[in-house]
Amino acid sequence: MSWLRRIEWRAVISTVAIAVAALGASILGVYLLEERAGVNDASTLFLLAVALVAYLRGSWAAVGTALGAFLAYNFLFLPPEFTFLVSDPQHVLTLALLLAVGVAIGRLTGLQRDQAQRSERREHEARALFNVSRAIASAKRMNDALPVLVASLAEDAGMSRVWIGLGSTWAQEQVVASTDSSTDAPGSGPHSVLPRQSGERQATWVRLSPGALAAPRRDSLALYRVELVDGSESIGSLWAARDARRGAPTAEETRLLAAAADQIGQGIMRDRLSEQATELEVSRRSEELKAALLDSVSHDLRTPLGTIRASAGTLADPKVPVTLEDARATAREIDAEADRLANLVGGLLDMSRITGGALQTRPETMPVDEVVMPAVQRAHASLGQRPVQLALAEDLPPLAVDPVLVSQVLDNLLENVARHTPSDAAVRVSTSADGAAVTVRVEDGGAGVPPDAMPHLFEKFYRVPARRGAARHGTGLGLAVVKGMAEAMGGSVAASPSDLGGLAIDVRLPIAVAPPPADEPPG
Amino acid sequence: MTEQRASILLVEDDDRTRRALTSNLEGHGYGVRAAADGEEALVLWELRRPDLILLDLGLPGIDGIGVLRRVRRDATTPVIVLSARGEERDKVEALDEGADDYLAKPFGMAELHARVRAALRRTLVGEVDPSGTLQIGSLRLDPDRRLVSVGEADIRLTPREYELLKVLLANAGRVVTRGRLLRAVWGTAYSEEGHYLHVYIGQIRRKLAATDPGGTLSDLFVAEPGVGYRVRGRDVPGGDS
Repeated sequence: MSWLRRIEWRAVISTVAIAVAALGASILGVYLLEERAGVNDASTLFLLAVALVAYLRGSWAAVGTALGAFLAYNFLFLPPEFTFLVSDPQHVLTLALLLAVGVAIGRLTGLQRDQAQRSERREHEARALFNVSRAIASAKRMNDALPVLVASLAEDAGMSRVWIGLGSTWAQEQVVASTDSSTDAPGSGPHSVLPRQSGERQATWVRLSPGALAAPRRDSLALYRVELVDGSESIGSLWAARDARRGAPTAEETRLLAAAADQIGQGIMRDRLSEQATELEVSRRSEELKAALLDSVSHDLRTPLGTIRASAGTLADPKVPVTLEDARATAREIDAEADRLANLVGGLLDMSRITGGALQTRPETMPVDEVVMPAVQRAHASLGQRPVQLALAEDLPPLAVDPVLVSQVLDNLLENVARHTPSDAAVRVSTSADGAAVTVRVEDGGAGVPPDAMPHLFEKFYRVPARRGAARHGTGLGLAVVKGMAEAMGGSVAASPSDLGGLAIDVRLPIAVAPPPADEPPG
Repeated sequence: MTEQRASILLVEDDDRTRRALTSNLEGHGYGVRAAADGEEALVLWELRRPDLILLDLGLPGIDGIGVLRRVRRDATTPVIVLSARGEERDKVEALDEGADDYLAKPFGMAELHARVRAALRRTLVGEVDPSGTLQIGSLRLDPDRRLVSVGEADIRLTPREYELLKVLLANAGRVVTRGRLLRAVWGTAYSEEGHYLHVYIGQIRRKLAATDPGGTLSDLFVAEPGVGYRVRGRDVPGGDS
């Protein structure tokens, strides 16, 4: 007898109690007025009780009360008393009037009350829906709105727990937001589901008991699920739970849950679409960047190739008279251009290893001086006449760096100085430690770089705009390689003006965690 | 100038490079035999026994390493390996198999001549002092007494530092790979401390510099990043030039 279970017995009992109390009070009043005060007919007093019950409990309770009043008045006050018989025909009229007016008052007052309650519920529902929309509209991404949403839904729909799971089928969902901290999904438990359908037709909950029919009801908690859909595809569910004794969600609660599910579903799809759009935009920009880089590389490759072909072609041409000196000078030019090409290709290879993730670092414990001194030694030829000052701090902790990469970092920095400073510019290499890292600084007394070029120095193919009359040097890769390699080793780079007048580049390198072994006794 | 008449076996599979290098080396007075692949190289090696071999590693047929192994079975003839940039592993393998030096392509002619001269000088000077004493400039290592000195001053080295210095001095001018240093000093099973090779080299460098302030001995060691170390040739101070 399922309809019996659906009746809220507590409400029925309290309504009956109110009706009986109101009737009792009326009976007392009528008794006092008619028997003691001598009022001829005080039956209208019962109408007061009917109106009161109608106000408190609605029209059907009022109609019942009117019926009770009719019977009570007949039984208690109309002769012959204590029977339901009526002797005086005039009293029949009074009784009929009492019943008719009672029912009418009850219905009218009750209808008004029901209407007031309905409009209050509508207002509540509208407010709840507004809460949902506002939570979604004010969040940048759906995920940010979900925690607020489930909390307000739990309150407005009278649920003890509300959560949202995403997944293609409800048994495989992952909880993305919940009013409590537990993230467990209900799995395959029995629950009621709200079939989604278009139009305004009132949806009803359908009980779903997958698996065993005799599945035990968990903690007498009733579970409700509304699918989140994108078009016709299910993307997840809005779940709600409350004490089974509170009964199924009301029409308003159901509408609220359904509307929230619609909005959440749309919000999630909107997020997914905008993510896809962002990815497209990112890939488009990176394509543009690649095209720009390719232009720059082709130009840098073609220029020395052009010189080489023109020079070699001239040498090979039998119609061009060439002296021995001419030939040697041209050959030296070819050699220099080929060297420039080799540099560029080397830089490109390094860069592609860095960006391609093929750069493997094998850190070893290296004293700072063992990193700096050999690099300065190697740069001896290219630095030429430039006075090199070494300011190496004593007792620095050893580094944990890859010997090949760290050598190349310093070689590139010193090569950069050799390439971009006058042949007599001062060069200084200094080292210092600040606890977490060791900094190697390479600085020069060259012309330096303008402040607005400073932030771009480590960008691929960036070249400081040439001063008037100055030739374009370098590949635009040296410092980008320095940065990539330093970072691959867990270090970092920074550029600043040097007090020597030119540029200072700081390379921070990680220090070794374990100290080197203690020296054995001298042998 | 005896070294100018030295004979060189050039093994290089690229025709243009081979032709250019041949005429350049001949122009500098060397007697040059050129081979385009490993088989030809081994035939010429058996027939001519050159004073020096320039060996490209990437060869068709018997590859550079194969040629090197075969040569090393009979002789200590200096071998300079020519390798493309970035092929660190091949380079290290060749050095471990007994190559004396390497040049990364593309290289300049001036650098090639410097390496060739240095390698030939080592063989012409003669292998080792009959007493076994190793000497470079003012630095002496006496293996009988396990004594290292600079001029009149003795240098106190730890056993590991001593072994390291000995291996490097015995191979003066040649690149000694990391692996060979570790095997010679720490034994066949690399010790954990092999990780600290740079630290030991740093300590030797400091001790040399302290005994020979203002001298060039602290520049004795040349780090070959990712490959190993070498000490400059027997003509230190002054270096190769």
